[in-house]
Amino acid sequence: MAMAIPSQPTKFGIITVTPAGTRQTIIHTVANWMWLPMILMGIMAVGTSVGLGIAQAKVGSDLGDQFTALRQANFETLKPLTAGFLFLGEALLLSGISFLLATILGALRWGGAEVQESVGAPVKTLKMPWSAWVFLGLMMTGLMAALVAFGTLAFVSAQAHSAWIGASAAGTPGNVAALDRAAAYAAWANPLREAALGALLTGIVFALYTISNVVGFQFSRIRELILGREEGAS
Amino acid sequence: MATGTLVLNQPTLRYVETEKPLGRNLAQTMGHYLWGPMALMGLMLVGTAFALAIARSQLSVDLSEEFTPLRKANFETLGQLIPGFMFLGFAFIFSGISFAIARILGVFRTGGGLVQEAAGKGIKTPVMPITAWIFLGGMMMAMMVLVFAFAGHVYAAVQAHDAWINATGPSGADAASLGRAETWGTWLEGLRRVGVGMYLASIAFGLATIIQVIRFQTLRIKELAEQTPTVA
Repeated sequence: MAMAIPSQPTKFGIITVTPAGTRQTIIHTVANWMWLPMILMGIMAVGTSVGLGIAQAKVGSDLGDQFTALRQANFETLKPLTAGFLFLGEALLLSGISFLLATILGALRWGGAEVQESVGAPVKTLKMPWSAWVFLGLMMTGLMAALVAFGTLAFVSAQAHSAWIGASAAGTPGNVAALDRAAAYAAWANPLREAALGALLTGIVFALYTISNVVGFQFSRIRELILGREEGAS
Repeated sequence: MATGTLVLNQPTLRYVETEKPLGRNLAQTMGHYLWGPMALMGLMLVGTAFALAIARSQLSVDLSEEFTPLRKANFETLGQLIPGFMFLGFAFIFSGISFAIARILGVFRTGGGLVQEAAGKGIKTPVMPITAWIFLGGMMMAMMVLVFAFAGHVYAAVQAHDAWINATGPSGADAASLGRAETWGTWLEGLRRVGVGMYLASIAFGLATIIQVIRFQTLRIKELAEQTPTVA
């Protein structure tokens, strides 16, 4: 038979009271493992973007010397790809930072329980607050939007290539319909990648708020342990 | 109110000693209440920019079907407004991050004081360090830079509209207005990056302040433990 875990509201949120330490949640565990891969992938994507930018500069220089359809097509293809990789990298880096903040929350949860357990007191732990759910939602939304923006920019780059590969002269694309498609998709894909960064950054704001709440709760709990009486009830 | 210094692996940390716990200071109180509104306004502005981008995308499709001066004027106007709204949104989101950091610092200040009060050994609170002042100053300057960049984009949007609204064809824009719009658009892009850079740098100073406060509190806990007689 499952034992009911008593819970009570406080000014910091709802807490659970258990006789022994609380383990980290699945989200904290995922964060422990994912922050480094995310940051490494982010650095690689940003590095790729720098490489593509250098290639684009070289093709642009060649194009200045002599126009060929292939050079123009490559130049126009590399432009959205460079931006796509750059913003994908930035989104992955911000996701890595978000995972790091979740790791901090996990460490506070685990460490707080350890301290309470070591002095023989009942272990009080905050239930996952609303701000943590908002943080997770915004982080996932931002990462997905960044991936959609990257996929769209890859499509834009393919369209730009189709538009210019059959060009007869500078400024005269071979496939005007493809060029128009590229322009229309780029018009919203570029702001989408920035909106994705906005969602990730807003998620970080909520993560920081959650940390401040957890730290406040832990100060209150330490005070309770010192004074030997309950204080945190709302 | 007495003052003193605590030393942990250098540099020294100045503090004030009081009988009652200190409350939040003005910046921390603002952070306590404003982190949420700032973040939400930022998210709304970013959403507005994205909605404008969808409208611009539709204008791009319409323009490819048939050129009209009005469509071109609207397309170019939105081209200036979108980055303006987007980066104003970023300014508010970064403010949200800064205020959330100030809130954390406020929690450390009040919570640390309450714990020391419970221990009954006097309350020591660190004096606002130089990093906190740089954090506050940098944040305010960055906000002003990004708000100015937004106003500049509105001006460039008006110029772009004037340039195209009476155009006779795809290359018949008013050269003077078009030139002003392009000039402003070009240097405002750099200014936006400067604003974001200043925000990120000031956030780094905010985090450095948190590190100093944690270091101070670690030292204070050690001091309290040394003052408490142990049971043999």
